[in-house]
Amino acid sequence: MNEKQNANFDRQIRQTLGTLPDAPPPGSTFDAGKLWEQLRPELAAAPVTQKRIGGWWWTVAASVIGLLMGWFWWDNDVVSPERVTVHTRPIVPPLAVSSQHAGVELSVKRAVKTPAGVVQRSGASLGREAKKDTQNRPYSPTQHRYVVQLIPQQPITPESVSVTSVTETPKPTLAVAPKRRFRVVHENELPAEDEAYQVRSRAGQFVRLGTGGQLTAGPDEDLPQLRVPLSRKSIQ
Amino acid sequence: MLRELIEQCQRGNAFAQRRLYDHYVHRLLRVALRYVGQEPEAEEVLMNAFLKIFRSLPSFTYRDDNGFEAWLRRVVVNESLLHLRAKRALPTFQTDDSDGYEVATATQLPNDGLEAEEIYRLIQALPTGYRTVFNLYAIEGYSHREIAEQLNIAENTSKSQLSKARALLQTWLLNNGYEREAKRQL
Repeated sequence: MNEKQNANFDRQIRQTLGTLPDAPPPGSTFDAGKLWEQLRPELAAAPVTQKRIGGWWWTVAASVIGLLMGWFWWDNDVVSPERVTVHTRPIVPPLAVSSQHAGVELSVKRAVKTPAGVVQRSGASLGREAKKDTQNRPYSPTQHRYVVQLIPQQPITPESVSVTSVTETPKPTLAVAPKRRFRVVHENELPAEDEAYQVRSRAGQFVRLGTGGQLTAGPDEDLPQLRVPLSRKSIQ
Repeated sequence: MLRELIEQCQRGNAFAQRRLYDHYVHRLLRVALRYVGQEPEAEEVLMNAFLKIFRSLPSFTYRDDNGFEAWLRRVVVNESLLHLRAKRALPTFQTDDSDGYEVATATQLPNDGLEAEEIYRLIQALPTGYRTVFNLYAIEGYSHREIAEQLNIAENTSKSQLSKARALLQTWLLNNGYEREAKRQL
């Protein structure tokens, strides 16, 4: 029997079986309802759970989105002007002084040199730039120049300009130079400062008591000496 | 319609499960009977097969009705093979026992008038090894390599078992009233 005949035989068997009705074979005692009754408790014991397709992927995606949003917020952090903190070197001279004096406003403005063609930015980016700038660049006093402007508040009249009309000392209205809390001193200056301090303290706070007779004459003999009698009765 | 039924089953709707069960149970019973031969065993196979079907249905991707039925049949066939393996009903064909057994005559089945139920009964009556290989190759369409992997046997063993199954089936067919066709073929 060749392959072709075998294939034909198989095909005929297959086609014939395909015509079988959807019913149990003749003489079968199969009870579909009974089998279902056995099957139902098993299905109820292990209920069909809907497969959560890509549950892990959703978690990962949410995490990535959260990280991206956090990074975006950090990168574009909008800081209100009140919260901007610019770290400057402690030995910066007073930057702005404004006072009103007899109708004449004196203002000193700080002008920062900027390279030509660079557009000045404002807001947070400017704050960040300033922060980076002050952190990375060594301080140089020549980087700042100060422009003093006299801005009249009112039309200047000869009467208002006269100094004699000023009766009250004006108070500075704005920024005062920050107090320096530290001072850089060379190590060699420390002993001299100590000595000076001790001399100053001795002279100002202590009084020498005792017998003046035992004092050795010094170069300042002619200076008046404080003599305090030892007996109190003589005072009375 | 079948698609909606499957989707409801995927959501765990018990009513839809019952409808799906009723729709396929007899068809799948015949598949199981072709492999295991006996009805009580076929019921056991069906029970396990339907449990697997309903539990793995949520991960099934519906394409068409034929694809779904093919999947159901595959599940039942696998369960039948598991059952036969557990019963050690499958003979061990580890050695190449192709003995060149050939059928002397080729039985030409008539195009009409053949009792499908008679053919079905004869297939059920084949020895377990022959029946299994014949079912897998001739009915389900597996190749000899796939059958060898499924049953853990050599490919030549599969061919040999198929050849013997065909010969025995044709002999039975000749004995059941198909002599004329067979003789004419000769």
